[in-house]
Amino acid sequence: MTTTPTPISNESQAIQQASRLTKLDTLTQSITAHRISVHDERTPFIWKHYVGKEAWSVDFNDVSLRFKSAIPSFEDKYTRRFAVLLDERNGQLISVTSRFDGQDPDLREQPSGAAAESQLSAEEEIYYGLPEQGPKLTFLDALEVVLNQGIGSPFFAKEIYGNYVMHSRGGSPQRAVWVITLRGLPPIPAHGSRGDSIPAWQRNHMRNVVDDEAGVNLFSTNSPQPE
Amino acid sequence: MSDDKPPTPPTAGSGAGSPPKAPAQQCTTCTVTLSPKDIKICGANKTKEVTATGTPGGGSFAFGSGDTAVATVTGNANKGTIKSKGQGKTAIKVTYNAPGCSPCTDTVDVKVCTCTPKGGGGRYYAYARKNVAKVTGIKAKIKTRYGKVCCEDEGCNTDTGYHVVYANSSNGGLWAQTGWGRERTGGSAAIKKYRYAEMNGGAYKVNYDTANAPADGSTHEYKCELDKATGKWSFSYDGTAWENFADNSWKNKTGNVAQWVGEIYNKEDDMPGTSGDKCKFSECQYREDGKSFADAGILAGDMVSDSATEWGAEHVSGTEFNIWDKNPLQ
Repeated sequence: MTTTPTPISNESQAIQQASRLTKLDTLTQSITAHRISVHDERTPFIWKHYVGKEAWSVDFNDVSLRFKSAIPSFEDKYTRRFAVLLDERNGQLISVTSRFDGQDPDLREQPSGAAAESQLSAEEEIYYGLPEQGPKLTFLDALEVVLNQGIGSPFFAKEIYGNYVMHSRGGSPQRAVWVITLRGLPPIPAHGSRGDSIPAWQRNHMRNVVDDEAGVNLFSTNSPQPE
Repeated sequence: MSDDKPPTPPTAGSGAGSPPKAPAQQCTTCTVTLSPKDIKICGANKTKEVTATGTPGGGSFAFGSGDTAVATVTGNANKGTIKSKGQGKTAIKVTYNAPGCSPCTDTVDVKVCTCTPKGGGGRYYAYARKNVAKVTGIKAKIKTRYGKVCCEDEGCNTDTGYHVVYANSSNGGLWAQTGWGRERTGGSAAIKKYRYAEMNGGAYKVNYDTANAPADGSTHEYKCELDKATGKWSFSYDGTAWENFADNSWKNKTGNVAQWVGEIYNKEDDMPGTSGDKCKFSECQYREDGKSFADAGILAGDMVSDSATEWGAEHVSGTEFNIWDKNPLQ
């Protein structure tokens, strides 16, 4: 799915664009939109361009994930609210966020955009910005790629974050990717005899990077770590 | 399945003396069928039901298991409740006794799979290990020999399972390692292959490079190198650096163990390699601080298997050894 950037001037347009990019409207009919000033954007390399800017936030409420490729009858552990943040100037997707409202002491705050950026830069990974053209995969498509090819199950994630960005790692050519971060997972079993001694908060999140063109999970990492 | 002539029941009849006999009731054909036929159970102490249908009606059913260490069965009229006990295959048999017929039987195959992590957060291993002062680098060529993870063929399990093979340098709770693996993470039945880099210092970092998983049967060099001045570990594959993780806990620190490892999560997961095509480690080397990479000098006494009956660990030379699973999943 490739779309031409279009300014958003009302709620209806915002919902239409968010639905087109995510397909979350296939999982709920409870959808609302409102205009906000961005204040807590933490996507590395991207955050600085949007903090303080006006954007549309489209909320998809009461969502339970379903995927065709999942084991039949396997049910989402959580009922989620996804907030889809759109740049009002061109309808570009800034972020998709689904936060956990309950209590989990091992679910630490994400690092700030600047701190995350520092960690990723040290590992030679860069987000260059938002792609000019819309994604080929929807957000739900990308989540399904993660389910089948990535590390960590979206069904088990208390929080889910999504970004569609231009990306490079280790000096590779830039390409459009979905970055899907699963947080609040059951701790990933680290390899090694002392793997389970690693604090759960360092092992309960996984960032999966999905090539939008190829529909392939490129890699999965628990970097950046919370501060 | 069998035919039999039933005894003739006494019936009331006309005339004096003995009562007339009713027409003899024939057992035409005794049949019994169990359904469903192909039963797979993931995990111990789980139940599944089978239903027996017998003709002619009015008979009784008796259920039995061919191997109660794999599964037991309890009958209730024509229903059998199968309870899984342990990994393996067996047959559940029903015997139907219809009035006037010889007993007839049917069976269904039952396959039980289990996933049993080691207690206490441990893992199962086959490996070579050297205690070495001041390790700042480790490498090996490792053959890719993907096996299966527990309950993979049954396709009904979403528990964690994996095998990984890697070169590792450790110092207590600090380590760095790189190699390849095949894994199912909790919550999904999908199984992923990858090469990976992993470091534990003040923070734990891992990269599962799923897009660059080595091909089965191929051999590649995996190497980790520490710059102790910066605490930065660099990871390379066939001589090309592809990941690095820096951590202050590794500054001015070195490893004191060099090891080349096969590791599985559940005891049922395959250790990589089979007796006919082992997982081969070759050109095993480590680097001591301030020196160049040197041959590992692995001795037969450096080889370890957590279970000699399950997993082989075979010394070949000072730089080469093999591991394999002696009872791989079929």
